[in-house]
Amino acid sequence: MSNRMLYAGLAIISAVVFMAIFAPFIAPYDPTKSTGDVLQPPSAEHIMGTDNLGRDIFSRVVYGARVVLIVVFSASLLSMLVGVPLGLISGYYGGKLDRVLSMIMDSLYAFPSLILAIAIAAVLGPSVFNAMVAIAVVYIPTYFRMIRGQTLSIKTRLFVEAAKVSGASNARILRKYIFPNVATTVIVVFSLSVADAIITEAGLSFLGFIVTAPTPDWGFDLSSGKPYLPAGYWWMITFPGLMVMLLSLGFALVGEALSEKYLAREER
Amino acid sequence: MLRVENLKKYFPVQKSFIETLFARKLEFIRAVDGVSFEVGRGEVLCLVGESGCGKTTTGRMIVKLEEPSDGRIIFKGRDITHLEGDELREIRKHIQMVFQDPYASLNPRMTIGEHLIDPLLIHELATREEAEEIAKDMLNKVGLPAEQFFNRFPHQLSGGQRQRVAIARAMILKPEFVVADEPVSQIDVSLRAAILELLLRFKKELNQSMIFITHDLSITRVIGDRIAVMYLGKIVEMGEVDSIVKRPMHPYTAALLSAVPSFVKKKIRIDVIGEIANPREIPKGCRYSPRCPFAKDVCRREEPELEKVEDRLVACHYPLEVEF
Repeated sequence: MSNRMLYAGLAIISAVVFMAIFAPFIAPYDPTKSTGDVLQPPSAEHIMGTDNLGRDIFSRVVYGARVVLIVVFSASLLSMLVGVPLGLISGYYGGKLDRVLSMIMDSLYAFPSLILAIAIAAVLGPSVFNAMVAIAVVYIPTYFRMIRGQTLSIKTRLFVEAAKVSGASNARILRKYIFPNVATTVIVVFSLSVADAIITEAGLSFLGFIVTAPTPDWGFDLSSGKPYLPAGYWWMITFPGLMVMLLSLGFALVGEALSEKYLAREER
Repeated sequence: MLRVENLKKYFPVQKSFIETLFARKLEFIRAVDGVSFEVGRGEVLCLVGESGCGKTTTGRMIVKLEEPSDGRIIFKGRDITHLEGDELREIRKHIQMVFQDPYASLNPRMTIGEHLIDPLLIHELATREEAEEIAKDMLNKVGLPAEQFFNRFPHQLSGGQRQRVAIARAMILKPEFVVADEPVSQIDVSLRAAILELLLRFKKELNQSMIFITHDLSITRVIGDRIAVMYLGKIVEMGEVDSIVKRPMHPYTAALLSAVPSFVKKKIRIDVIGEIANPREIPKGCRYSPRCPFAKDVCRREEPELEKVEDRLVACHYPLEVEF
């Protein structure tokens, strides 16, 4: 079961990544130019139809994968680079530092992720980089909490004490004895947080915090298609929306599969 | 070589929030409650007792995994009780430990070879290349051919093999003092003798002193020179292995000896009454009195001191005169 989930997830992710990289070869039209009549339903010429400016929606969906992948990957990488070391240090050393860090992280965690991301993005101003920072901040506590918890339990294990008896310094214990034992968790948290961040990214983009017209982006296209939905032009929001769901699902599948495969087994 | 003076370890009792509100003062578990002994060069002292008697905590304090609440640890004339930093690291080179559970004492994400190399690198005793050579020699020496085991991970090894790795890791620094905490209690009975032999071989080769922690008195005859029997954080009897095993004076030692299964029918049987007492509520008078079949009134009132009786130290108002 977990193997099938893993492969399905990996297939979705690689398809989208492939699409983003080779967008110029896959997209039949220029995504930013009007290449047909406005608001045409899906047809042989425009397989996902055209939008209110006559742009090919399929081409926009293909190119739209670029922004979301860049923002979400770099954001998750950034929160990992901050959250993992802080979690390790906090869990290992404990004491006042741990209390302060935990308190900060808990208060960040208390906000719904989208609201917090909006607040940060609003302060920083709309841009791809700022959106990346906003999303990164939102997911730091996820890494922090998981890694801190694991570190707390691993640091009492006998092999850590054995390393102490060998004379290993704290830095060495963290690097050679604790970090390798939380590495799997980091990978699991990475894919699960990317899955979540995709939705957050779409939300920010929907509200206009990431790109401006005419750059194609799924969340952004959702907002431009929204006014046309009541009039029956369903294809404008359906396809970008489906892509958001699909990509998020891909990462969630991988994350769940990995956690089932590796984390549960280590708990024995 | 190593002297321990009045060593104590009190652990604060973990209480629930409600309990803390109503408790008048902090409660402590007196895990080790004033233990003194000395281990000479090349000597093996066995710490014997039931689980919870403080023998492991004593060992952990000596290797500095636990900070003593009181008392002193003197290693080669130097007080090491509160060493820190580089001084502590320097001492660690000479005092090593073999842990009870070989399944937990190795890092699951590190190869066997790396386990042996790491101590050498920490103490800057060799370059990486040299360390690899030393580690391989060491593996061969403990009976795990290096070409087979060097790159394996702990989960690919059996318990006995893992304990050999743990011993190799401790011995690679050529320590002068080793604390062995029940090193064979979790090993298959058929492999125990080989592991003990390995320990003894290193001991002889490096002229090591050792504290051997065990609950199994039958092992002490194989490995020990002297025995210290502990009960509820205190030593109740200490002396030469042979004389204690033959002629125990403390009723608790006698009871432990009675409990050793043996093919030879025992002449005498001395029992213990009930379970080991809770170290949170140490009995008044002699700590052993509630379980002692020979306890008299004075035992329940006054705590006996550890005093010299004939060839040993005993803490009992009425030392036994039995022979096993």
